[in-house]
Amino acid sequence: MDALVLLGSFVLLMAIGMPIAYCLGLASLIGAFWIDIPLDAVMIQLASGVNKFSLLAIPFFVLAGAIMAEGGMSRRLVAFAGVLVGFIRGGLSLVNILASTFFGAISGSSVADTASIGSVLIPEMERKGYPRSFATAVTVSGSVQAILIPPSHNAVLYSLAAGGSISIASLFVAGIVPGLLMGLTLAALCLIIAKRENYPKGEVIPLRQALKICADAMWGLMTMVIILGGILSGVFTANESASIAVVWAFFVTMFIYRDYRWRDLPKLVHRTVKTVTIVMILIGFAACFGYLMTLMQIPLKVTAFLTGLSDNKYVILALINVLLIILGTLMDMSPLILILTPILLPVVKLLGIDPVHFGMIMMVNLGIGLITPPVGTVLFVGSAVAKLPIGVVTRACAPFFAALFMVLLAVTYVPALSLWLPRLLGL
Amino acid sequence: QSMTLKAADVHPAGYPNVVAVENMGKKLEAATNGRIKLQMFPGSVLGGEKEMIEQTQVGAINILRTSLGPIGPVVPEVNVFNMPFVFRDEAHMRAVIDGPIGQEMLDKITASPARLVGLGWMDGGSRSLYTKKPVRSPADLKGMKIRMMGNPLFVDTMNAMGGNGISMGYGEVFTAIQTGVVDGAENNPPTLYTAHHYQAGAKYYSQTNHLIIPEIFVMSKLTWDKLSKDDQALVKKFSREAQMEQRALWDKSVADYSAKLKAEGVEFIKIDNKPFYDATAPVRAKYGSQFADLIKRIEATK
Amino acid sequence: MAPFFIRLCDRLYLACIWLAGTAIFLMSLIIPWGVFTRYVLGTGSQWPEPIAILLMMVFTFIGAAAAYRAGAHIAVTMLTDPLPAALRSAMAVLVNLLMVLICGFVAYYGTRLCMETWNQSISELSWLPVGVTYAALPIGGAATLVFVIERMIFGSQAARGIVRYEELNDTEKAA
Ligand code: NA
Ligand code: NA
Repeated sequence: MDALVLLGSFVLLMAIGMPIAYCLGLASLIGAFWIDIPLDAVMIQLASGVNKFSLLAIPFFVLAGAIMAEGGMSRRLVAFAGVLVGFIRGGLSLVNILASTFFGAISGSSVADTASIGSVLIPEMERKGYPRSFATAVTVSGSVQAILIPPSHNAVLYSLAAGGSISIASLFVAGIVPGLLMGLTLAALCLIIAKRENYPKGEVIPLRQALKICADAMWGLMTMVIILGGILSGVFTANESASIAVVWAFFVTMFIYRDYRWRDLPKLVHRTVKTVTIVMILIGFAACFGYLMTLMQIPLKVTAFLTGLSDNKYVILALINVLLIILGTLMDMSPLILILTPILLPVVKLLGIDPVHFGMIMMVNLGIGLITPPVGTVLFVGSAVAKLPIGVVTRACAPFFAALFMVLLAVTYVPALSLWLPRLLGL
Repeated sequence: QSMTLKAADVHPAGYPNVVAVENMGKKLEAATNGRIKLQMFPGSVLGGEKEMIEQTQVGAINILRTSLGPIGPVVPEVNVFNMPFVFRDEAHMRAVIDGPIGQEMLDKITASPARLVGLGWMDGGSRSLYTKKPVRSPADLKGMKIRMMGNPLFVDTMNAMGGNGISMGYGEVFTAIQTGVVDGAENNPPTLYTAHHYQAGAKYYSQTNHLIIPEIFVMSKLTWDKLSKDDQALVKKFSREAQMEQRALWDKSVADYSAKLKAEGVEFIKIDNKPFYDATAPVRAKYGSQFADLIKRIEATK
Repeated sequence: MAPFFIRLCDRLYLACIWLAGTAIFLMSLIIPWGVFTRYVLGTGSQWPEPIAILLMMVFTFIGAAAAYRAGAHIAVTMLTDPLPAALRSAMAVLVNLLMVLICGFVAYYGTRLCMETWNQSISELSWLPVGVTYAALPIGGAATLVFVIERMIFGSQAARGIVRYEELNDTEKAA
């Protein structure tokens, strides 16, 4: 009954169109009132949910990515990818996927990825003879890589939702192989489609020009070296590397690339405040919600229920994946990570599944949810950039959903994909 | 009046402090024929210590086992226990908290505006150094970065002992030791084992026993005032029993985990801590001047 | 000319944006400073961590108020979109009332939390009262409440020039 009051009021509030963050807050108040907990305690959770040092990495990672995206980084990454794979048949679609791989290495945001790479490449691909719907489908599905390839603020969010017990360094390293696997799978699919549809080849870029393009892109890609290298070598903590990435991104944009005007900086401030605070306040209210779930012992009950269904971890993982896919089509990634991690992690831990591995399953699964209707932020942004109806993009995405689904299966059932690299590095 | 007391602890289920409070709840339940029950929320599920103490103040948590850190700002006297080498050894610390000084401090907490009722003390163990290279004297510590709890007093303590005190979050310590951001940290054997810090390379446990800081458990004042006089007396009685029970569990836990650590190849280094005691005299002078009388009484306790 | 209250809200909106923007700007400098003092000056500083967290509170709760006015918060509109217009506006009224409730809660209980913790200090920085670190909560809650009231009286202001500042300036560049 307790659970019904809390979860029921949340779903009801969400259904009438209240912003999700505030739904979580109000549902927590209703839940606290129901089980007779002083409302001050909910307030304490809201404050302490944000008053956390480990949280700092999230705004920093988002901001570093935003600075790079605003400052014309995406254009350079596209050019760099063009040097490497542009000359193959269907080259521009491969360029798109690869540019997203690179973009993912400096940002964790699929939305920013789609918006910036899409606005460069969708018109370009159309001009060269690719259907616009195909170009958009490539862009949105390729952008899912950003969540897996480090840095990933969603991985930080997962670590946080797990109570800070999972190291951010291992989550970051764990994302590399699944991220590359996703890139390769999507690229293979693009090759097949390009061959069948006879999409055009690009030209081989002359060496001198190619070198210049590479050098240009390297400044931005150094961001990942700073972040991963800093964390892995122990020079910086995750927070520190993220903050240094911000300073670095700013330095590269303003003093090396110099294509972002100082008087445009207020735009960056406006955009950053709007995009980052909505995630941060969601974290705060989700902490209240999680607190009520704990007091009502909902995670314990869900664990008992799920492990009662089966004690086979493959069956449970399949069930969890189905649950995540369904919820992922309906809801955004960050609230789902925050709400579901405390519920599901005890279950999978009990079954002997590594929390880092489970994190990767969640990232891939909810990442797919970003590009599925009815609610898919990246899908929406992709449609808006391409000026195509959501239905048209969704249809064009169908083969890509299949490819991503295969990646999800592989990541779910081959733990080594997630765990081999972190173990190799002793994390 | 029938009620279910919510008890909370940062330590996980099965930890001596948690078990002692749970058993206290069982005794309460038996003595009141099930009128008063206790529900335990271990393992920081309700938040960190700071959030939990705030929840206790507003009555959302009824019984809280906490370190003295968050009590210090409201009852400064408890800070005397944070002083390096203020106790000769663990037995000395137990004699102090069991005796009049311990009771006075509990009463001070109850009388303070913190809206808490001091129920009793718990053994927090004694903290020693664990490092990647063996440490036997202050000279060995020279140039070593040692993680300390985030309080200037502790950082100064480490600096006085010869090393470089670095404050960082507990969760970052493993990676920090592994990657060399710090050369070691300090804690008691059970924590060294459960946090796996020895796996990060801190294989030398030098028994400096520089900090012996008892812990405390408190009740929300709001809850206390709801209890009848008889129930309050029951809570007091079982609290004292919990204080004694935890200690036995704690000693067993230290023995068990020390054996496990040795089996994992951790070297326990017995050292003469007199040079460290002497080296930290300025720290006691700087932070302890306001408690000079209290320190004298502690030293006089047998 | 927009009504006085809306122009007042414009001011409040800009104040929120710039306060939050300044906070994140300072955060991104303070943490590297901590690294610098650790490696170059060889002394770990105590203050960067608590100050950065304080700024993050300011950024989050005051910035979120501006994000609310801009309609940036994620909401599910899938179920309300197909409804008839009358029903949809009834829902909007209900949502606004519920927003008043939650923002009122943050403002009121946030104030209480600040007052209760005003005399406590944080362990790393003894001069900084805990209450100050929480002050962004009631301020942000109250600012959001003002924007909710504005929306109840005048409708959504997300399309105002000031609120769409960054989009409008992008279009300029493209044109
Ligand atoms: Na990324
Ligand atoms: Na979706």
